[in-house]
Amino acid sequence: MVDKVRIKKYQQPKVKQWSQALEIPECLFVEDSITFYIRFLEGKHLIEINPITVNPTLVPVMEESQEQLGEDIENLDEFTGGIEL
Amino acid sequence: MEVKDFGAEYLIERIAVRSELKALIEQPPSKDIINRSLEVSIKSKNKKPCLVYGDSNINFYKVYETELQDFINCRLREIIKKLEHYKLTGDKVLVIGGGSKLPLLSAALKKKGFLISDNGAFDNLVGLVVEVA
Repeated sequence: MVDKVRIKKYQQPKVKQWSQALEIPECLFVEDSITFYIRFLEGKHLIEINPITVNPTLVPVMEESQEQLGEDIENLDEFTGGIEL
Repeated sequence: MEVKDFGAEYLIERIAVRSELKALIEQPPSKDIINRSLEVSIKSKNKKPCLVYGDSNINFYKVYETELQDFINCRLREIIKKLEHYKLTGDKVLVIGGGSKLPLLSAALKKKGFLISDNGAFDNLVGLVVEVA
């Protein structure tokens, strides 16, 4: 069982850069990475990441696929999306 | 009376800290902006759900839907079961608080037959004032 993850030297600058940009500790960055990768492998990823650089201002988001946008809305007041109580 | 911490603040915290939103917006999410975005609620864009992050044109609907489902599974499922029991015995259940206004959840609760307060965001406060007075 792996209880410690070593960030490879060649990955460290990017991990550091994005951890700082997102204001999260590196351990959370690694945890998120694993979570997102598993979702990706299982075809459940929510967003597609564009190749990007650190940017302090919000940029327009990429075009989303129809699948990512969820089901059609017929009536907004009654719309419950894919959630189940 | 039983009190449990299953407020909308927990959900907002999750979206801000643990979700894919930060990867989507490429910076640390702001809880205030998430809150404001949820108050604006989901809009229909070409018949597709659109939940815009603040004043940007970033749609984080899917992130919200995923986190909300997780929130329901972890925090609300148990209490909803209890409330349904009350409903079966003839009680009316009024849902109050900021969480009662959450997009998707509000409609889902209505579908289940719960009553959603028109003044949900302030009912907690009004009730507290009445208790204290």
